[in-house]
Amino acid sequence: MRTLRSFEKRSPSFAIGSSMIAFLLGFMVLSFFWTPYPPNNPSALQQLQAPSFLHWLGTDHLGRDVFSRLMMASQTAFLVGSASVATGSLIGVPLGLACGYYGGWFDLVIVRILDAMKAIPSLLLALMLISVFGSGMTVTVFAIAVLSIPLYARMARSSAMQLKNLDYMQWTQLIGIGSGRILFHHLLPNLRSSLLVTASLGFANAVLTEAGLSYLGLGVQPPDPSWGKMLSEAQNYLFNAPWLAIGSGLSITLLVLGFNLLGDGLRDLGDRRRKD
Amino acid sequence: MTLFLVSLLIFFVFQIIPGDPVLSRLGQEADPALEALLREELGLDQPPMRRYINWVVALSRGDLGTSIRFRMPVQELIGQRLPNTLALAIWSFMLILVISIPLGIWLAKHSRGPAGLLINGMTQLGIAIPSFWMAILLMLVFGVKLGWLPIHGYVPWRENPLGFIRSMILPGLAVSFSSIAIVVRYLRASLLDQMLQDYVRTARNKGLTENVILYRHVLRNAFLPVLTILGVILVNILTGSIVIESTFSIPGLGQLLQTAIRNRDLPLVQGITLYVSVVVTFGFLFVDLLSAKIDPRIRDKEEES
Repeated sequence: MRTLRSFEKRSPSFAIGSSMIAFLLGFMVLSFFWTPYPPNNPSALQQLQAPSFLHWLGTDHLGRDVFSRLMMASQTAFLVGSASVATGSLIGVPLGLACGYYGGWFDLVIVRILDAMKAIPSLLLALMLISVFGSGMTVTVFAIAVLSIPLYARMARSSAMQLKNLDYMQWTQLIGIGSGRILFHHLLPNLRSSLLVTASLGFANAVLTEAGLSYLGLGVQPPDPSWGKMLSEAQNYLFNAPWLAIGSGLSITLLVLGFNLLGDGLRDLGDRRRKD
Repeated sequence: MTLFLVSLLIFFVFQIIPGDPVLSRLGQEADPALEALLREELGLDQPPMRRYINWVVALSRGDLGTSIRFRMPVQELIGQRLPNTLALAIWSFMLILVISIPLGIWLAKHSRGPAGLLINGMTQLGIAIPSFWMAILLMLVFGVKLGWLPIHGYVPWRENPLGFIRSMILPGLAVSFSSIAIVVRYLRASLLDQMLQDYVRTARNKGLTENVILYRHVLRNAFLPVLTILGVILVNILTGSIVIESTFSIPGLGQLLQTAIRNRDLPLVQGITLYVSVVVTFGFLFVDLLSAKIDPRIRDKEEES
């Protein structure tokens, strides 16, 4: 707890970013137990109502409460983000570590593949997977998770290459510690701060990609809620119900901004600690 | 090399399609003779490696295959839509240059202390706003509230140049917005960094004015880190254009891609993805060459190796 407080004092980005995330996380958790209205209940009598005391952010074209739907959609955003961070750390990091540590032809092959993946914009890669497997929640989460692997692998690889040449690493080899043990007990802990930075930026990226895919109508499909899809629906009612376009866009922006700021704050703190 | 792998990657992703494209076209109870005929026509009776080689050979002749949905050569379809996407991309790139460079310089000059923090926050916000939300906000303000600019519909340049320009203003702003924030952020940080260097102090002691120092000495050095993110900007513009096209219903590559995915028109998806990847690869190459041209240090290093 004390370290957390001193973090906040030293980096405003960290403090602001983490409070934004905490705010949205709170709504996400709450949405499992309670939303002001049932999020998927259409009501023919209450279509496109302006924000009021009853419906804080108004109702959409089917008469559903926008605020409740925003809360439900936050689950999708957090799911996509967490899945991409988990996949990246569990597959990308070991892969990158092994590449950087062992080098050789294995490294060469993997790096070439990562380079090739860099040449295809991640949105297009995701779209490619979707065109093969069809759209929907599972495919969207899967595509974004798989596509996050290069980011983590690259980070882990460059760290491993730097660390490998440090004196104490050479010692661990000399006294005969197995390479698996070196990778996981000696290299991995050193990665923690870079991993945290990568994970926050990766989370933001994943949320943005999901929103983009769903906005195009190719990501999450009804009835699963998604901020991106809510925006594309809102776009049809710009003249009658402009308020529809505010909440979902703001939610995406807040979450992405929160994680970007968090990542920046963590990086600053890491740099400063290194200087001390 | 990268291009070869890209083509391999794109080709094999489309090989893992669940289900048989032939059966999905003819129905489960198709006549076996007809099935074999179509299989042969599509070249699906050959092993994957062989098909890949056929595909690459066709590619080298500029043949990307035939679209299932449109029953037209893929390259022709791309050719039709490409100018619109290109126009949007180039226009957005110009906006980025024209807005972000002066803004970055101005902000570097006039921001010390708490103002710097505020600017940092603003640029972060700019990066976080998704292009399609920006597009909708712009539509709400300039289209719905003020009624100054059209919110959708695309006017071809040949029919009405003025209408074309009017219809491109909002899409361009939406595509370039986040990139502007990125460039401003990098340029400002890089300028402030350079201003603390020894050579700036020397120049000051020689009696040069601040503006001469800034424009003759600092700017050139400050551009280098900005150049390295040019690749990111390029990807940003391309993906941004693809999404924004559908917002403003501009008939470009993005819309074509969307139609292709909806109809599971795989040759078309394949062709467009490959096309964009080739552009990105050449873009990265160009950025490398450009930084070598501007910075003699990089050039020398490359000549040594």
